Amino acid sequence: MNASPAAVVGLGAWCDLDSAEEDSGGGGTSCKVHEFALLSDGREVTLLDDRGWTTSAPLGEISVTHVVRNVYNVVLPDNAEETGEEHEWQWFVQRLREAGVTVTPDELRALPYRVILSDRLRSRLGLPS
Amino acid sequence: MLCRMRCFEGLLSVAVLTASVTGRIVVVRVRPPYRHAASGYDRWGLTPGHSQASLTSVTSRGSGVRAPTAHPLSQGVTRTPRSPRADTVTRALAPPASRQRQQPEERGMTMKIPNMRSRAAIAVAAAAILTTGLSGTTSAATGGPAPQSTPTPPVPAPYPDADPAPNPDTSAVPSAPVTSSGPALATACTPYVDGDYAHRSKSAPYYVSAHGWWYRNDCPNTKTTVYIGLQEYWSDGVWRTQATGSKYVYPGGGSANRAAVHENCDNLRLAGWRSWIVVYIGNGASAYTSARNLYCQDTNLGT
Repeated sequence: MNASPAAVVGLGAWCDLDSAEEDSGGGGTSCKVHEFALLSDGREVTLLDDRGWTTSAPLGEISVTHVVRNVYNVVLPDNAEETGEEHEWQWFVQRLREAGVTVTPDELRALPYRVILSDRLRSRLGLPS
Repeated sequence: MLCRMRCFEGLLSVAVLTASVTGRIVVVRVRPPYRHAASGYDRWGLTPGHSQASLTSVTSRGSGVRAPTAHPLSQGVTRTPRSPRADTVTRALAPPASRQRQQPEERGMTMKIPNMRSRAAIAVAAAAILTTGLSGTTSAATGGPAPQSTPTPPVPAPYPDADPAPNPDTSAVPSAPVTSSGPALATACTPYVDGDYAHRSKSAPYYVSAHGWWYRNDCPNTKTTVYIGLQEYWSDGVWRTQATGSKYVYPGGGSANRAAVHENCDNLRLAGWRSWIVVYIGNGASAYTSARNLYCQDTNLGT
């Protein structure tokens, strides 16, 4: 009956248009970004939820590549220039520990990482749902 | 008599203008909490390919005593800035062109005032509107009553106009190496600038940081200087640049190609933060990032 402890099976970043920016009609584009971990028991743990980006490019001119690269840019650690790390691994470990999952940075590095765009953003980019 | 009437017209105009500005700016939108869309996931599997790079130069500026406050429109408007320096009180109260055009109508109303006693009464009322309006908006910004001796302009912060051409103040941003008459390949191109939302460090020492980079669009794949400024929102409705940085980078971003800026927290109370980013290659580009309320205050008065 004892269920094995949940394990992290994947990492990702979720990106959606920032509604306030979209409503403002300011000319640029802004998106909110959060990083998450998917667990083997189906749970999702938010790892980083204070990120996002703004570009001067209007939504009608921005490319999918531009959007995805920006997502990767905003999740970089502040000291990425020094460490070369692409994610806040130590913070991820701490957040997962709080969620009852024990994992090491090296184990997290080996996991697949996906960028996921919201339906709304996909629609505005002309992508199929 | 003519002088009296015109002076009086001016007072009324100020009152009407203040009331209008006040009524427009004190509206605070309450945003729902962030929600995760359960559907619509997509799988891209792209890899970032970021690499190591040297540190970005960062400078801090400013000293003073005024306390910043949380920006009530923390997830508010992002506009292409006319100038990335702090917006001034004068600018906050300056009537837009459309409002200036309304003045003849307002003047016509004042001409109908029948006698001096009535005019005096309205003058007192206008002064009351002026005072009340300013105090009321200060309360909206700070969550408490404003000091009577130091009236502050309406809040929240007036966001810059959406003019596309960057024109940064030279005191905040170094002279750009490229202008509209720059390198032949970049003369007619239109780059984009990008920046991440200002965010606070997860552990001590606490600081707010932001990063900026650029996209080439139709510009050549060459290096250009990305300028970035970190701004904090203050209770007088002014965004002040607390730190600036720059880096000479290729387009696309990544740790090797981004300019960084950060500012240490003097305390962990809430304040509004955003950044501006400017490049000059080709037609140039600039943007303010979306404002965020972060638990970090830099109490030094920026520029």
